[in-house]
Amino acid sequence: MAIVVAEAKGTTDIEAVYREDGVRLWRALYAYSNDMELASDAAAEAFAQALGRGAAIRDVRSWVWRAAFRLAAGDLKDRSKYAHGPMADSGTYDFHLDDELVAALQGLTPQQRLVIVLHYYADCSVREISRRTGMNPLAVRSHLSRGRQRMRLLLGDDS
Amino acid sequence: MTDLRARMRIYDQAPAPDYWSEVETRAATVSAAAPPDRSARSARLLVAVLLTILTISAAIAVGSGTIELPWPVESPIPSPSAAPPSPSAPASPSARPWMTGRELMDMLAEEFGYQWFEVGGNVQTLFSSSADPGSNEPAWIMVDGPVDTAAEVYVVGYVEFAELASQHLDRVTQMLAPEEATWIANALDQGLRSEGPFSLDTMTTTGGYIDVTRPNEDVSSDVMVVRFLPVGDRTVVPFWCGGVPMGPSLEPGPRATPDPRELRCIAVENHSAVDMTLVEGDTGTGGRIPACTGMNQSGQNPTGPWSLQVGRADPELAIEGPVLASFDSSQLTGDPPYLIEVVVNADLTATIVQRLSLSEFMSRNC
Repeated sequence: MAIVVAEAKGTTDIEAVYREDGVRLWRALYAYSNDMELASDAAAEAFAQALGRGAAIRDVRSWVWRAAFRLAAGDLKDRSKYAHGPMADSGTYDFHLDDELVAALQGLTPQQRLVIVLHYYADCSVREISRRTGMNPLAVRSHLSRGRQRMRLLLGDDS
Repeated sequence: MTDLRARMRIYDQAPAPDYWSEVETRAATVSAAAPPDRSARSARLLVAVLLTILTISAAIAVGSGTIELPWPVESPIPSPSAAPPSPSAPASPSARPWMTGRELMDMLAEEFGYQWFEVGGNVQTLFSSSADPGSNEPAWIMVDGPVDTAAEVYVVGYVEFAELASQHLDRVTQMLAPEEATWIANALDQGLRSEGPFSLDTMTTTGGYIDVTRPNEDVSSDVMVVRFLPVGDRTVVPFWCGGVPMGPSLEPGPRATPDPRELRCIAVENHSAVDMTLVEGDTGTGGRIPACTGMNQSGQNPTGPWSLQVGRADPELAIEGPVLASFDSSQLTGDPPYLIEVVVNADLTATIVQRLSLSEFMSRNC
């Protein structure tokens, strides 16, 4: 099959971001959605859209993260429930989540969960979260503050 | 919470697929024709992309160093005003002291039974109010640290719980800026009715600054934030971009700023197609102002006389050819903070003028 986009401007840059960040993005999306299929779909779609736009995107990394989380947020909203889901091409994985952590994350609002994942998993600062999500920094701080407080209780951590 | 970051590392073990081939397949498909079953997503993505482009464009124009001023540049939070600015007077020395964060927390605890919980922060400790720290109440108060300095307070609420948020807000307002209660109520009402991003701010006559913000973005449209800041140790940043006044913004300034009256703010717009340079004082240092950009900076006034000149930039950031406009400190009138506006027009004429007040600055018709 001819890969048309291979000739598009910026493909190399976008692929470089994928090689550097693709796995981390996928895992952050998984932490956010608790759904591997959704994570795969949103991540692949975001990179595909980035390829389609090529050089028009100046900050590929931020753009892709933002697009991916918006897609994931939209899909989560469309689905009335969160559920574990196997990837389409998944085999059997020797991977077990921290159930308490998953439950705590799912106990947050979507906005709180997003900023908690980006801050505590992807190691993003408030400014970086703002850049990667398009959220106003004030909103980021608010959700992060409240998310922390909620996680502290749900995880039984008073430290 | 010290181990949350460590616990989140469990996701490093999640079996992430290599999905690049899927990316290429999708991109090829999209470039050929959008499949019918993805049409809804494509439409949604188009909206997201448009929003993203708008946001990124604004961010690039404002904060990505399109202008390299020779002084530290504040990075303002875009604050699009949805209504004319408040007629409140520009900042003036406080009639009464802006209470400290600790005092506010103690008073709210004593009078209304608030409990305060430390929720940490990137730099300084943040406290959040709650009757029940574990509940996910839809409205709350945050007091930023350090709490022994003038209070920096956020009242946050999800818009569908505006009534509950209003209770918190009323209490904070009565303690910090009772004279602005009507303004806040009106701003909140406008924000709740707004269909797009909303931000409105005012300076209080008691030495504070208040803004009401509804981000109204894809993932945070349900939050309204009312922020109370002590203007005395903040930097006033008149902000605009591309000829559109976006409202004044306040950014963290040096906590130890001894006298807010020493603040000086310079806003720069270059409407021409030629790169310009802004040269300050006798230092000979220049800041490049690329064509069709705008930027601002703020800081303390230099001690002693100072001056500004603007003109076409040479490779060394000096002015090449004639100085298009100049300004020096002997021309300053009125009380600080001084608001200086530098405009280079499309026809390569330029002006540097002092705006006498923030309200005048804001009323400038671009």
